[in-house]
Amino acid sequence: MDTLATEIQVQKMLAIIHQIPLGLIETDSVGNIKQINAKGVQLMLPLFIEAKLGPTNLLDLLKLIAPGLIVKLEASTIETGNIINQEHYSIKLQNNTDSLEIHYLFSVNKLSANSFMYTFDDITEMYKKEQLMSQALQDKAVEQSKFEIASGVLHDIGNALVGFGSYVTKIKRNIEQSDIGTLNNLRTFIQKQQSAIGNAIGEAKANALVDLLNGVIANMEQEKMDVKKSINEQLNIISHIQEILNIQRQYVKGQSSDRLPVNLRAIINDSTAMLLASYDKKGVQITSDIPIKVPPIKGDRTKLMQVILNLLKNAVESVFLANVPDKSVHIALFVNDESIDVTITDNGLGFEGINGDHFFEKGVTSKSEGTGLGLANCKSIIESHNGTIHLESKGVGLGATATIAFEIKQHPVTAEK
Amino acid sequence: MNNEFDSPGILEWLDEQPNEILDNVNFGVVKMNKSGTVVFYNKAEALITGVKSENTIGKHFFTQVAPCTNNFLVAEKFNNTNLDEQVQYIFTYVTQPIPVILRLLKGDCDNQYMLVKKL
Repeated sequence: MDTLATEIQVQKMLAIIHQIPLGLIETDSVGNIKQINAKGVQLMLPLFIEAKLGPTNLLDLLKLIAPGLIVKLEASTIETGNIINQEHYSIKLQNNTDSLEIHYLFSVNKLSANSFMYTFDDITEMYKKEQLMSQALQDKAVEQSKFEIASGVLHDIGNALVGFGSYVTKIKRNIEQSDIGTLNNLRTFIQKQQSAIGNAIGEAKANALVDLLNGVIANMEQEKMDVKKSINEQLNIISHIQEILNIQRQYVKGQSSDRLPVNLRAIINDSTAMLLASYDKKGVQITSDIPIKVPPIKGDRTKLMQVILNLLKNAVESVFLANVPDKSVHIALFVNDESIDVTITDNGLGFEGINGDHFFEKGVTSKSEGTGLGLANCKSIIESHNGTIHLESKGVGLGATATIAFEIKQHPVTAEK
Repeated sequence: MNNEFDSPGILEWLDEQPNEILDNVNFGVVKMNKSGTVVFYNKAEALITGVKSENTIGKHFFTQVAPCTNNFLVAEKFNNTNLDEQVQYIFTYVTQPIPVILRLLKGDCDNQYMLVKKL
C-alpha cells in the first residue's frame, strides 16, 4: 500500500471513529490527550470547564472526578491489555445553583507503554430510569404486602367475631332457659298452700314469704330483660362489624384481583336458585325474565352475586311483611344499546317519596335490626363495576323496584372464561 | 469596527466581504451555506487545523471536514434559526488536540459561520 492509500485509509478510519456515539480518548502515559473523538469532547469538555482545567490532560481531570479510577490505573502493572472494564462512576458536579450527579461508564485499555485508550459513555439517563423502575417495583411490593397484611388481619378479626357471636348467642339461649319458671311454680305452690303455711309459721310470715318470692321473681325478670336487651345490642354490633369487614375485604380483594368476563344471566339464575327455599317458606313467588343471550361484562362474580342476593333478600322480606294476597318478586334483565339493566320488583311495603336512593347511604335503614350497610355495600360494588343502582317506589304499600344498570361501553365484550 | 472576533455586528460584516478580506483576518473563518457545506475556509483556519482550504470547499463541514465538531456542543446548535454563541472547544480531528474558542453565527444571511481562535 502506498503512502497516499494508507493516508486515505487512516482518514476513513478517523471519520468512522469520530462518528461513534461513545467517548474515545487516547492519552500518553502521563495523561496528555493525543486523540479525542466528537462524543468524547461532548462528554469531557464540560467536566474540564467545570473543574477549571485546560482540556489537555485527562488524568488531571480524573483525579478530581473519579479518584477510584486513578487508584486502579496506578495499581495496574500489565504491559498491555484491559485495565478497567465497563465500570460505573458517579460524578458530583457543584453547579452554582444546585449539585448535579452524573453517571459515566469507563473502560481503559493500555495499547502500549505510552498509549492508553479511554472509552466512556454517559449513562445518567439509563441509571435514573433503572432507579425509578426498581423504586416502582419496590413500591408495588410494599403495596402488595400491605394488602396481604390487611387481608390477613380482616380474616382473623372475622374469625374471632364468629366465635364471639356464637358465645353471645349461647348466653342468650341460657338466659331464656332461666330458673324463673321454677320460681313461678314455687310461688303458685306457696300461694295455694298459703293458709296451711300461715297456720304453721303465722300469717304475717307467710305473707312476707309470698311478697319476698314476688320481689325476687320481678327482679329476675327485670334483669333477664336487661341482659337480653344488651345481648341483642351486642349481636347487632357484631353484625355491624361483620358488614364493615365485608366492605373492607372487598376493597382489599379489589386491589389485587383482575376482572374477568362474567355472565349476568348465570349470576341471577344462581342467586334465585339459592333463595328458592326461603321464598317458598315465606310464601313468596319469584319470577324472572332474562334473555338467553346476555353479553358478558367484566366483573367480580362473587361481589355481583352478593348484590343480587342482597336485593332479592330485601325484596322478599318486604313482601313477607306486607299484607298482600299474592306475594311476588320479579327479576328481569334488559340488554340495551349502551347498557344492561337488571330490575328487581316486589309488591311489598314500598316507601314514601318516589326516590329511595338515600337507602344506599351508609347507616340508613328501614329495618329494626338493620345496620344500614347492606345497600351501601351494594352501591359501592356496582359503582366499582362502572354501574349505577337506584331504588324506586310508588308509595307505601305499593312495592318497590331496584334497578342496576351496567354500561356496556365500559365492559368490552369478550368470551367468557 | 465590525471585523474583530468579538464584534457584535460581525455576521453582517462577514457576509459582505470578498474572500480576500476574510483571508486576512487574524482568526479562523469557516463559511458554510445553510446546509453546512463549506463555501470558504480561510488561511488562519487552515493554519490552526493543518487542513488545506482546497480539501474543504464543497464538503459537508460537520461530517467530512471536522467530524470532531459533530455533536450537540457545536453541530447541533446550527439547527437554530438564529445563533451567536461562543463555545470553548477542542479540535481533534487529524491534529493533536487543540483547545479553541469557537463563535457560532447564523442569522438572516445566506451563509452561516464558525469563527475559531486558539486558546
